[in-house]
Amino acid sequence: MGSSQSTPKITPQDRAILDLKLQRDKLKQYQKKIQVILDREHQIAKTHLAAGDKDRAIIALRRRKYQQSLLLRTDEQLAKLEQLVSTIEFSLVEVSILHGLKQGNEVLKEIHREMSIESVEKLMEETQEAREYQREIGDLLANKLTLDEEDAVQAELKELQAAALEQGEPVLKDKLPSVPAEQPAVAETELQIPLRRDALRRVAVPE
Amino acid sequence: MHRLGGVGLAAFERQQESQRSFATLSSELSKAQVDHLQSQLTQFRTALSHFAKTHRKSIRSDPKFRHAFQQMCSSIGVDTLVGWREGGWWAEMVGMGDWQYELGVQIVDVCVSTREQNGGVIGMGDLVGMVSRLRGVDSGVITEEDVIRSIKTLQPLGAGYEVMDVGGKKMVRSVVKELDEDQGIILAEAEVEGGRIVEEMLVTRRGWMFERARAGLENMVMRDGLCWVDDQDEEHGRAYWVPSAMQWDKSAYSLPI
Amino acid sequence: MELTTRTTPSDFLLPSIHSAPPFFTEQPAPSTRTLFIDNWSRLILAYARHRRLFTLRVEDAEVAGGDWDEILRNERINRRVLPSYLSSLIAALVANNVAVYEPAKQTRSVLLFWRLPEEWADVLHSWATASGQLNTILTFYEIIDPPVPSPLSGLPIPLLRRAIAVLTRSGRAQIIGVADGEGVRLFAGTK
Repeated sequence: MGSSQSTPKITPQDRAILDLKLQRDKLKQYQKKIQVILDREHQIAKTHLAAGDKDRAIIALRRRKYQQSLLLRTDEQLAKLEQLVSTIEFSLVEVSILHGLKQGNEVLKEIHREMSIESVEKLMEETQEAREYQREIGDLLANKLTLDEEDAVQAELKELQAAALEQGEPVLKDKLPSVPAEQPAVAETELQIPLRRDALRRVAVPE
Repeated sequence: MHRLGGVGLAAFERQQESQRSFATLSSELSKAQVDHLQSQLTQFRTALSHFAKTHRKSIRSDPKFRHAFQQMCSSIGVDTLVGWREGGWWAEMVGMGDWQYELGVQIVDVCVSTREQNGGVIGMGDLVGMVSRLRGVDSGVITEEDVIRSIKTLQPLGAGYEVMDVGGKKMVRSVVKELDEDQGIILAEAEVEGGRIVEEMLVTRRGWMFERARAGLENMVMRDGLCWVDDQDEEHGRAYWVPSAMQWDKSAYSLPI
Repeated sequence: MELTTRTTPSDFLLPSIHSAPPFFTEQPAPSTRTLFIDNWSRLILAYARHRRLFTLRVEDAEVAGGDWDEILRNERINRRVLPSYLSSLIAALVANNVAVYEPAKQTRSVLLFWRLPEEWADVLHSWATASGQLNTILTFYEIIDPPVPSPLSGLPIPLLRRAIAVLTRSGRAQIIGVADGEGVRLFAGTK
């Protein structure tokens, strides 16, 4: 074909830009899909809260926060890389860009793991396996979220609680008065109270 | 800072001056445009004459070709018939002078171009409307009488054009083959029902045998394209529809594309 | 019963023949059959353009509730296009080069060309020119799902590929492949 001679050669820089853009595309597609999951997790947190299971509500919220931050960070990183590629002499930054691309790929893989609705649904299950999964997630996430993010999670929890109260969530109301009436339930309430105090303290007095 | 126009009498004059020069410029421009347009039009007329001359034979002998040519003329605002009547360039070019005869030709054009839709039978009202539209004239300019007279002038040509009376409604047949008696009856019955007809109607109203009714209808479908089949009829499974008897909206059957 | 044009809820003007019951039956007489199929082809393409639909499947005549109900069904006269008829219509579209079977090697689903690949090529090229994206590397995704909606929003990838192929042939586009996918670069060029 005679036309091929008129088209420019494809440089390593071209390929790097394409790699970046493809990564960004995937991210954008994930962002669209993940909204469904985020909504579902919010719903799950609400359900757990209504059932009085604050621990599990927090796990769902933490997980949600983590996914949001993951997307955000990757997005920012890609934007920065893209800017670098287009503005700076490519050979100067080639190594760092290739490194950035590799990192981006790893984050994408992580996002991909987070993207299944089945694993979200596990948060709702009651089996032994699901319990273990939930604890595992809880521990994992506790280490991965920043303090600010953890605060945001707690604030969100409070919001949910307030909203539930406003709506006069019948389940919650029924549960609260029943506590002092029954003697054997004492052990359970004692377990719950310090947790709640702990949560309130964390929100009210952030160090 | 320099302001356009400034102030005072001098400025007023300056403004008038510029207005004058603008006016001159504008008239020069429009004159140039008109000249250009005129030369284009002359050129176009020459081309059209040339076209008409070279294709005179096709225009006169091929109805589909003539139909297309006339559509082209009317789309650019040349009424070919007016040209004839005034003995204009068109009459010279194609060598046809008689308005009545030419109306007949347009009737042929409509009949030919709608034949595949209606199997060669068209209602008088539809025909008058379509001829009027083809010529770009308001309804009422061409009358039913005009059309009937024109069709008579066509008869010596042996094209088989005929005005029929179908159950009290005038229709024009443009197929050489005459409709047989049964087909005439089917058309008349279809008229009553807005175009829909089923075997049973012919059996109960006309006392036909089922076989005769079916054969008559299937013949009209297959041999002449005079009617359409509907296989989703709620009552009878298969119904037949005669397009020339259906109440069409004035817009065409098909999509404007 | 008068046969009139009608406007659908999606604001599409149906021709009067759509109110004629026999229009929904595949005709046995060859001339009528051709007449109807021509009308259906035009109707399908016009509707697809109106709603920006790119795919037509035989299934669209099998189950209600799809994108094509407004034209494949006429509830007022209780008629619908049966799957066998739609199959014939689809074959006619393909025969007239206004659709291709997509994916290939089956006959139940087509990609509609209410703009031909050559026309899409022009649309793509003008878009890239107008948005200042000539000579830059674009991914297919950013072409069909741009942040600012464009005439190419939602264009199926197979159709985009055909449009790019047209531009490549005239030296106005270049495909770039990497491990993770493909991209394209457009040039000003001349036809």
